[in-house]
Formats: sequence, C-alpha cells, structure tokens
Amino acid sequence: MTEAAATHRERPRAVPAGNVRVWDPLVRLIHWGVVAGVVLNAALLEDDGKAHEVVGYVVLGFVLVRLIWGLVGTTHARFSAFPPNPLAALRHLAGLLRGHRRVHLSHNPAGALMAYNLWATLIGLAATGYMMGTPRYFGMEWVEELHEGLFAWLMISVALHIAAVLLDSWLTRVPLLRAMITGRKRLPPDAGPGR
Amino acid sequence: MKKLLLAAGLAASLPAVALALSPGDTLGTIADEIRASLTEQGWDVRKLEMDDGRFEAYAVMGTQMVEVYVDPATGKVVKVEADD
Repeated sequence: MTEAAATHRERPRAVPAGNVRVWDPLVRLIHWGVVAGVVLNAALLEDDGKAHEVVGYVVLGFVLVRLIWGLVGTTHARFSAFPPNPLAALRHLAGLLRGHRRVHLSHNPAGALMAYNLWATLIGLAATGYMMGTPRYFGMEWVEELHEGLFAWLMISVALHIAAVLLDSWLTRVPLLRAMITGRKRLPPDAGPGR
Repeated sequence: MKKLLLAAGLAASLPAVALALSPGDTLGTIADEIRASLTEQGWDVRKLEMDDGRFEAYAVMGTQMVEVYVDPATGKVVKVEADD
C-alpha cells in the first residue's frame, strides 16, 4: 500500500473535493462486462444453448477476477475499503432517513452489501448452471428451480441496485453512474465527510 | 484386425451403446409408457414433461445425457438432443 493511501485511510475526513479517481479500469471493465453478460443471458440468448453456457462462464470469470482484485487491487476496489457489515448498512440507511448525506469514495455500507450479494448470486447461478450439464444433476428439477430462483433474485437485486444508485446520486449529488464510466467521482465542494 | 475384434467385443459387452436412441423409435403415447420404455433400455429418466404438444424426457445413462422428444400421437421419437 502506498503512503498516500495509508494516510488517507487513517484520515477519512480528508475527502477531497472535485474529481477523484475511484474505480480503476479493471473494476469498470468487469462491471460492464458482467452487465453485458447478464443482459445477453437474461434477454437475448436461448436458455438451453451453448452460448448461454459460455456467457455464464465468462461472467463467472469476471466475478472471480474481481474477487482476486478485492484482495490485491487498487485502494477503493479492495474488500478492506468496503467490508461486508450488515449493521453498518442498516445504520447507513437509517442515517439517510435522518438526513445524513455521507459521501463514500468506495461503496457506501449498503452498496457494499449489494456488491457481495450480486457476486454470490452470480456464482450461485454459474454453479447451478454447471450442475445442469453434469450426469449427476442433468434434468433434476430442484437444480433448475434453484437456477431460476437465483435468476429471479438477481433481477430483484439489479432493480434495487439501479434504484439505489439513482437515489444516492440524487441525495449526495455525486453522479455514481458517471463514476462507473469515467472512474472518477465528482464530489460537490460541500460534500460531507465520508467514511 | 485385433483392434476391430476388440471394438466389436466392447460394443457387444456394452448394450447401452448399441441401444442408442434415434428418431423413429417407438417409446409410447402416454407418459408412463415412455418412462417405462426408457427405463427398460437402461435410461435414468430424470424429468418427463409436455412441451409444445410433445413429450420431452430428460434421461441419463452413465455419462450420456439426452433430451428425447416424443410425439404423443404416434408414440415415436421425433428428436434426440445429446448434451455432451
């Protein structure tokens, strides 16, 4: 870890205003790669075709690379920047209701939970998809139902994710969608201190 | 020649391979018949359902996985899809 990053972690109040680099190119490539894969498999490809299978494994590959990147990647991409903490997520949401507007350079605690949820769901989809092609689980209805159930959960999660991104962008005035495209968060000059 | 004999011997000792399903085979016009025919041939029938007016059976034998489509009017196999 660089000295600057370490200092930054110790002094979380020093959130700089202006354009801050947060998402490195790999994070963005993986994010939009997963989006493309999910759209292809959910809406465009035959459920039982070879292409659906290949796309599913490519998405799994993206997720696995992202998980490794969570250990060795850039500051804001690391798990240490957004540890899974349901209590912190609840506090964050309760804070929103009370009018708190905290800006986070990585994910906010609720967004962090969503990221872990999406990764786990995608891994579950790949695992059940793989199982359907093995002699042991081929044609087993519970495996297919689990795959479909996970897909339904993925769609609910994606809807929540998009709604939350829009809501957070509106509340904190940090355009999050743009950040996932350009890699930079444009922080308003009066942005509250983040954690 | 030896190899050929060996192959013939193997094929004879593995009726499962010799009994591969193909279109035109008669399996039955109702679900129970189709299930019984496939089971008799050594298939493990995992699922049997109606799909677009045809029976669709998911069956496994060893490492072979097939989807078998049967026309309920004739009782014959109309399509076999092998999953590798």
